[in-house]
Amino acid sequence: MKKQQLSYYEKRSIVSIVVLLSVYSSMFYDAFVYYQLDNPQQGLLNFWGNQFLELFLCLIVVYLVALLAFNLINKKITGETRPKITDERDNSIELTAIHASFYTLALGVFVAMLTGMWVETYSLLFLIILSSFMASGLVADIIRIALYRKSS
Amino acid sequence: MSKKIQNKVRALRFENGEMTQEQLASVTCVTRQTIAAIENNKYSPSLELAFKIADTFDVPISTVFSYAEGDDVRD
Repeated sequence: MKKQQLSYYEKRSIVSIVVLLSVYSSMFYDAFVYYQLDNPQQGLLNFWGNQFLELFLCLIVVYLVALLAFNLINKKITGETRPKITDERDNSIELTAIHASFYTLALGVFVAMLTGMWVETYSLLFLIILSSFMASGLVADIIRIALYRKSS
Repeated sequence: MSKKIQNKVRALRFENGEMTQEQLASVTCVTRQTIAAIENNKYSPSLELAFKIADTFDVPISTVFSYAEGDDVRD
């Protein structure tokens, strides 16, 4: 059976994946640079606190800008605007995606706590938490795309 | 072969003045993609939506949807 073209929500999820990968890459790069320093000025907890605050702010701003740009470009190219209604299928897909995302994050935090308990290093604990934030976002978007594709 | 929810939405659309998916979607307050997914048996609608669809074609719900064995039955 012929598959439908990518829907608005699928394209938006792809944009979201790109945003997530770029923002988290920059965060991981910052961490990499920090750990390369022999005698960093910033303390470890101070650095990670900053990183997480920066992450949330960056994610909100970059995501809003990217979404705005996507809406404009998508409208110009395809003439398609944001769907005016969100129906039961959209809600059910969203719920499944959020569910999977929540479990991924919970698993990540659990692994981070286990690491903290056994290895007793803050760095690894924070790195795992940062990774699980990224993984949970990616899982949600990938599941959205997969479910929209499956039912198209 | 396992039982699946089958539907005649596509056939009923054509019997009702070649109604488009977009028109049916607009009457039932869902997106066109959802109607397409239902027609292709890729999505089972809620009871409320099933009743709305049957109501749009002015037929009993059992005329539109059935629970039967087999592959896609669309007409």
